[in-house]
This record gives sequence, C-alpha cells and structure tokens, in this order.
Amino acid sequence: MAKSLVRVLGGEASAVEGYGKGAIVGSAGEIEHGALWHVPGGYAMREVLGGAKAIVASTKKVGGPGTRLDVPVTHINASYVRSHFDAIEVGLTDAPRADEILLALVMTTGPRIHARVGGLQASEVKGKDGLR
Amino acid sequence: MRARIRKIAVFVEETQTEMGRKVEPPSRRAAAVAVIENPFAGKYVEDLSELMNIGEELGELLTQRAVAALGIEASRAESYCKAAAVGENGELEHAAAVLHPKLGAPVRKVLGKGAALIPSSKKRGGLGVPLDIPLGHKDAAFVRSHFDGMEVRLNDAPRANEIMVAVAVTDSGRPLARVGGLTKDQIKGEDGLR
Repeated sequence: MAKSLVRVLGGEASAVEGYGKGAIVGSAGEIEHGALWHVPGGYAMREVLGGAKAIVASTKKVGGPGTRLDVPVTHINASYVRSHFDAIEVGLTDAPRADEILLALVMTTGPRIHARVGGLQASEVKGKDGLR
Repeated sequence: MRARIRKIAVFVEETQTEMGRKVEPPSRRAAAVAVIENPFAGKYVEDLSELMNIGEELGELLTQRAVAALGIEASRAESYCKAAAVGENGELEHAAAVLHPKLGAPVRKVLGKGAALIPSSKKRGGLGVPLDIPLGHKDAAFVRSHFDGMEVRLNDAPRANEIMVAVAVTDSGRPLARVGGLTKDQIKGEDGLR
C-alpha cells in the first residue's frame, strides 16, 4: 500500500511530506484488531520513504459498511510542523463487512492550502527527534 | 468570551464489556464539542488571530467540560486529542487557526501535564458530518495501548458559517489492549514521545 501511494503521487518518495494511517473494524471485531495495523502500516510507510522520523498519526473505529473515517496527517519528519497538520476522510460504501477490517494509509505532498497560522515551518525542521 | 457559542455538547462513552469479557474498571472517555460562529466565513482573511484567540478560550472550556463529565481529577486523564469541522463557507485553515497556535496550552494547564503533541484532525463538511478525534497518550505519543479514536456528530452542525470544535479526554487506554509496544508504566513522559 505504501509503494502504491508513492506511485500515484508521481513516483518520487522525496515528494511526500505528510502521512497518516487508520482502520475501521467490522462489527464482529474488536477495536483491538485495528491496533494490529500500527506496526505494519506505520513502519512500511517510513521505510518506503527512506526512513521518515516522525510517529505516524492514526485513528481507528468500529463501524458498519459505509462508515467514514477522518485519517489524521502530520509531517513525516517533524510532527510539530504546523502547516502540515491535516486530515483526509476515507470510506467505502460496502466495507467493512462484519468480519472484515478496512485498513487505510495516507500520504500528502505538501501543506494545507494557504496555510497561515504560524508555528514551526517545514524549512526549520532539524529532523532528528521526529518532533521538531 | 470572544467565541460566539451556539451550543455545547458533551459525549461520554463507557465500555463495560468487549467480546464477552468484562472491562474492569470500565474504560471511559469524554468529548466536549462547541459549535461557534466563524468570524471569517465567506471571505479570505490573511490574519486569523481572532480565531487563534477563540481557540485559547475553547481549549480551557472544552477540557474542563470533558474532565468534569468523566468525574475524575484532571491529572488522572490519560489520553487527549482535538479536532474541528468547519462549515461549508469556511476554509480548512480556519480550523487550523482554532486548533493549533493557542488551544494546546490551556488544555495542558487544565490537565496539569501533557508532554506529547496533541493528536488532531480537521475537515470541512455539512450538518451532521461525523468527526473522528484521534486519541493518544498525553505524555508519551508512542504508548501503543492508547492509540484510539472517538467519533462525534451533531445533526445540526456545523452550519455553513460555523465551526465545530472538539476536545476529548480519557481515563484509560483501549479496553483489553494487547498488541504490545510501549506501555504506560514504561514511560518517562518528558520528551513527549516515550
């Protein structure tokens, strides 16, 4: 999934600036089943992006087919870059079924449009601690 | 108060059993949501300071409401998060102005700590849009048992010229968390990560 995202965004991993992940567990499951996505979903993206430093923002819920999920997005190397705090709403009309899990990965290639509320800028990132 | 609040809604969820097993003690979380007038609806304004100041007010108010709803000492809160849905005449950036520059400090003041980045989400939508607030441990972002989400929804908000702002707080991690990773007992809680 991580490789597919880079491909649809133009093929250059270096163009990716934000990421996030999420899961919607079908009604016969537990929210804990969605927690299994943290390790494979997050680390796969960080590896494909050449070792991105920041924690991958995430959310999860249990829901029926057609449930919508707002997947939070943050900067891939420094979580505190304010222009990159964002989210994307995802969902599929016919998923998840009761015995399914919907898994989501998100990547972006830039900040919010007309970002202008200050804070840490992407250009100021030191990029060692994954925060700033 | 600078914010012109149409209404406030507080949601409390208490999970008592999961997959047939008792959750002892029950796991509880609360989200406090304010529906406010968007002073910048319908026009491009460069300086969004007014919304940043409103964010500061709401950070304190909504955290206090959520903690009160949980009925715990504020310092016993374990996870937190924030989110906003801006109505159709607003920009996503209006949500950013409320959430990011000044809302965090009062949240942390109410809770007494909060070393970690406050997880957040934002969207633009119509009345009744569901809003997922992504939760994380308030002192160490990498505590895996505390990665979670809470959905809130108001059938009559946000109107085109409104913003719906939410802060959520929990007294625990996910019920029956069992996928390993950093636990809350292992944290140092200073760098906000571990």
